[in-house]
Amino acid sequence: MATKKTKEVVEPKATKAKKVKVEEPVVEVKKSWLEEARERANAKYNK
Amino acid sequence: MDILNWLYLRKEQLIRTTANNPETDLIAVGADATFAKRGDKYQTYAMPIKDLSVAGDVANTGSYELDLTLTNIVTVTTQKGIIDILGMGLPGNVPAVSFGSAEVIYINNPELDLTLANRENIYIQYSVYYSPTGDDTAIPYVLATTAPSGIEFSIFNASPVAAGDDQWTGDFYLYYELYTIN
Repeated sequence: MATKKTKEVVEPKATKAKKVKVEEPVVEVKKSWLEEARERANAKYNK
Repeated sequence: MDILNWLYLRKEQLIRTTANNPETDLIAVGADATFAKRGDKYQTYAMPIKDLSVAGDVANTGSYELDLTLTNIVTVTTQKGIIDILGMGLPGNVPAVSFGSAEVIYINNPELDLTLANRENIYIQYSVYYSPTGDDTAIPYVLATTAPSGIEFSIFNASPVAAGDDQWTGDFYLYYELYTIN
C-alpha cells in the first residue's frame, strides 16, 4: 500500500522589503528677474 | 500796497475756475530785483497764465547724470528730470538680449517717502530716449518698482539680436516725474 506522502508545506519566507532609495527631488528655486537683477547690481555697487 | 481787493472779487463773482483767455489773462508776480532802489526789493511784473504754468514746470525740472561706472543711484531734488545714463555699454552692465536679464538703477529723492509702505501715494511717470550708435541693436525697455533706496528701474533689452561691440553705447536718457501726495 502506497503510503501517502505528505507534502511539506514550505512557508514562504517573508521577503525583506527592499530598501528603495528615495531621492529628494531637486527643486530648482527660480529667482525672479528682479531678484537676479538686484543681486547683480549689489555685487557690482555694494562691494 | 495790496493791489487786490479780495472782498470785491468775491462780491462781483470774479473768482473763477477757468481762465477767460489763458494767452492774455495776466497774473501779477513779484520778482526779486535787488537793484530796485526801493524799500521793497520786489519788482512787480505780469505774466500770462499760459506762460506761468510752463515757467513753473521748467523750474521744477532738473538735469542729472548717472555714471554707472561709479553708482547705480541718482539722487534728485526736483519733481521732474532728465537723467543722462552713462556706462550701459561697459562689460558687466549690458542686459541680455530678449529680456534675458535686467540692469537695475534707482532714482531717489530724500525729501519724499518712497518706501513700499507709501506706495499708494507715490506718483511716477517716465519715458526713455535712446539713440543707438554703430552696430548697437539694443531696444531699451524699462519697468519701475518700489525699493528701499528709491524707485527702482529695471532696464531690459527687448531686442533678440545678439550684442555687437557697440551694444548699449548709444545716447540713453530717462525722463521722469516723481512726487508723493502724502
